[in-house]
Formats: sequence, structure tokens, C-alpha cells
Amino acid sequence: MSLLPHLGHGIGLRPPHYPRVADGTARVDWFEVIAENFMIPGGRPLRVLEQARTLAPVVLHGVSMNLGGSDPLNERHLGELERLIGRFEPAWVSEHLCWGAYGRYYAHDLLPLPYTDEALAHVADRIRHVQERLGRRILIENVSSYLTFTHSTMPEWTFLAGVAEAADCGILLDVNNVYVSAMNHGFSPHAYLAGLPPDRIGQIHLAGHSDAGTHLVDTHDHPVPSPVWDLYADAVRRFGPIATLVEWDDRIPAFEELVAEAERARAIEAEVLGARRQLA
Amino acid sequence: MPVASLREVQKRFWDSLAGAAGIVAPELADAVVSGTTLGSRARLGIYADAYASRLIDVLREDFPRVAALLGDHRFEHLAREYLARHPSEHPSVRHLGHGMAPFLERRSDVPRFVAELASLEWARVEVFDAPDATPLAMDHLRAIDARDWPHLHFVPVSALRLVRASWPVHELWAGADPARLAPATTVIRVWRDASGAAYHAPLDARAAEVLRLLIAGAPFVIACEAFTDRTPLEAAQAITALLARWIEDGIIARIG
Ligand SMILES: [Fe+2]
Repeated sequence: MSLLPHLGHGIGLRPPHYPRVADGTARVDWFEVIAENFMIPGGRPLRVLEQARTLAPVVLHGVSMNLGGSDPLNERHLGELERLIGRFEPAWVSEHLCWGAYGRYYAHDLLPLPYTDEALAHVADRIRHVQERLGRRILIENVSSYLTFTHSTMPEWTFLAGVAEAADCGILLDVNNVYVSAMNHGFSPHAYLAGLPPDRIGQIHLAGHSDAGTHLVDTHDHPVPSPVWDLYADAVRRFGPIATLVEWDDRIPAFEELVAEAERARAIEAEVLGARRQLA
Repeated sequence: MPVASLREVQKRFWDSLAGAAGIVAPELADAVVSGTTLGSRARLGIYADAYASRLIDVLREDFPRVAALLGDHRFEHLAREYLARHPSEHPSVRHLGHGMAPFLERRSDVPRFVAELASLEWARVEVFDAPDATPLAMDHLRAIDARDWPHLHFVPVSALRLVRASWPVHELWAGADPARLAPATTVIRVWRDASGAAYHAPLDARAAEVLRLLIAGAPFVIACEAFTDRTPLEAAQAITALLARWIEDGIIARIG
């Protein structure tokens, strides 16, 4: 999406690396943080986030908005997000194309939606409401899934593209999630990318997963594996240079190892774009 | 089968996660695609297992000493029962364990000191992200005119809790064997220091009473009543020593 700047190749900031932010040695293009982790009255995390934004641009990534849910949107939660935006001035805000709450209880998971016209219209309505309330366009991210519904009437990429068009929002393309879901449900990850509107892709996520034997699990506890790097190269080929972020949430390695993943993304992007220029 | 509405699908899906373990409504199983390696129930089971293990992990992180004391198996069993009664009500998972100590306290099959240890651990979670305050500096104390003391309010920071227990749970927290401990009325102050880390320390009965009074908004002269058996001068000296200690620890926010 041309409206968003290419922030470069960043990392998800998690507590093990807070000391590197505090002492100013966390050198990276940009940070993404989980918005809910900062919806707290005070304490060290908020101070770290203040420091982080003096080092690099920060993006807020939400996990509990329940955009695809059938409960009313949690306006108090939106209010807290609004306050965070006001205080930390993120470069942008993203959420997930999924549901995660029912009857006002939260699963703290990214649960899959049926890909139907009903769900599409429902989610798009809610995204429009959120965008109006926040006064800004948001990005929505595709999630990894372990099941699909028999009453879905379209493939996931058509659903994602349809929601983004209907809500006039951006897309946070998680390349690892595309790969995990493609393997779990037997579709082509390249067909997925081909089905997306290039002008709406505002950000890319990269991460590692694990193999449970019968299916892949979106664990974010490994380096980015080579098929995901290949898919990233394909995404850069199709969509051009896009702000990219490496997520790592469990068994988090040293800061340098994380940054090395972001640097690898930068190198792949440069290589793909160089080759594309030579062809042109 | 008629196509279920989004709300109906989500209700049944939610029940399969948070309801009785492993129970999947037939309509839900029919609504999920069975693949070559995994049937629809197995696919739903991936989500149900992830739901339980993620939230139990959160509880284990918030109550590490309780988990160690009970052992993995017992802790997991109790955590599952807790989750069945207290599903998460907040978008942030931070609040998940708020009812854990009262839940353990109500159980006749859990020793009381385990519930009290849970109170201590939860107080540590609470002070970690309580509202910020700039703590009072020692210089402020020295600058006070002696005549002003009685009416001053020493206002504690928000990141401070008093935990009352019938066992010395701070010793359990430090790894003591419960078999070697005896019940003892205990008050523990829990606070956050300037670096953002949580600390706790036991208080003797008088100090606990003074701190309780300060938290309740009492002026210095009322807080002195914890020492009515001493001369006013001795009481003032004892409380000044306590205040100096607490100011050093950063738990007094201001003088009002
Ligand atoms: Fe992601």
C-alpha cells in the first residue's frame, strides 16, 4: 500500500530484549510490539516502549480485537488502543483476520473464520467501525489455521482480498502463516499470493514454525525456514519492497540473532529487486 | 445440513475449547473439513489443546512457586478447573490469574499456605504494572519542620500491596519446605523498585499497622498510634526509622 512507508526490516520487540532497548544498544530498522502488553497502568514495559520509539519507529500489533467475532466490539478495548496510539504515535496499527472471544470471554488465540459472504461483510463492517473510531486505516493479518469449514464458499485469499476491499483497509501479509496454512490445507502458497491485491499490502511478517507430524504449527520459536524465505522472495517479486518484520515469541534468541534474520530479509529483498531491475 | 450462522459456529467452537474437555458438538464436527492426515475432531482438538496449554502456561508463569510446590501434574489439574470457572474476561491475558488465590482458598483439598503463596505471587504480578509514581527523596524528610510532622500524610506509591497470611509464605516463596514451617500470622509488603522489578519483605506487626494506616490515608499522628505503649518521642523515632527505610525502597510517593 503506497500510503505506508517502507520502514525497512524490523523485529518484534519482546521482554527478553527490553534491556537492549533500555541501554540504547537495540539497533534495528523498526520495532513491532503487541498492543495488549502495553494496556497497563504503569511500570517498566511502558518506559521501555518510550525508549524504543527514540531508537526506531514503532508499530502496534493487536491480538484481541476479535474482529471476526460475533460479540459486539469491545469499545473499552478500542479506547485503550486509542490511548496507546495517542501516547506512542505508532507508524501504523495492525490486527488479525480472525476471532478470539465469545460471550465476552477471551480465548487468547487466533481462531479461524468460515470464508463466507456473511463473515466477509461482518468483518469488513467491524474493521470500518474500528478505522472510524481510530481515525486511521489499519492493516489486517492472515492467521495460520489448522481447520477449514465445510460451508466456506471461497478460498482464504479471496476472503482476505474481499475484506480488505470492502473495509478499505491494508493487509499485513504473514508469509509464514500462508505457508503453514497451505501445508495444513493443501493449497498452493503461490496461488495465495497471486490472489492478493498488491496495492493493499502494507507489511510482511516472517517467522518460524514447527512440524507436528500431521500438521505444521505456527510456534514462532524457530528461525525462518527456507520454504518461508522462498515464499518471501516470491512476495517481494510480486509486491515490491514492503516493510518486513521478523516475529519470534518463544525460545527467543539473542538480539543479534534476531537482527540477523531481519538482515537476511533485507538481502533477499535486495537480490530479488536487483534481478527484477535487470530483467526490466 | 443447513449452513450455520457465524454466531452459531462460534458458540459451538467456543464450547469445544472452554467447555467440558473433548466434547465436540456433532454439528460442529460436520462443519469442519476432514483431511487426509487429520479428521475434523482432531483438527478441533488442536485448538482445544492449544487453548488449555497456553492459558495454563500463563498461570504457571504468574504462579511459579505455587506450581513448583504443587508439582506439574497437580498444578495443571487445578489450573484446568480454575479456567473452567474463570475463563479470561479481558483482552489482555495479564488479568487471567486474578481469581487464583481465592479459588485455591475455597478448596478443601489444597493447603491454606498454597492459597496464601498464590496471594503473594499475584501481588507481585500486580505491582509490576501498577501506576507509576516518582518516589519521595530522603532530602524531603530532612527538610520537614518538626512542628509539621503530626499532620503530614505520607502517601505510599500505587505499586505497593500488603499480603496477610497465616503462614510465613515469604519463606515458602524462598524455597522453604512446608513440612518444616509452622503457621504464623504474617504480613508481607510487596512493591516495585525504580528498575521495575517486584520485591517483597515481611513486616513486623507494628510496621504492618503503620503501613496499613498510611495506605488508608491516615496522617502521621494517627500512624503513631501503632506505638501507643511507647512514649511519643520513642514512637516518633520508631516511625521515622520505618519511613526512612520505606523512602529508601521507593514506596513513599509524596507528603501531603
Ligand atoms: Fe504474524
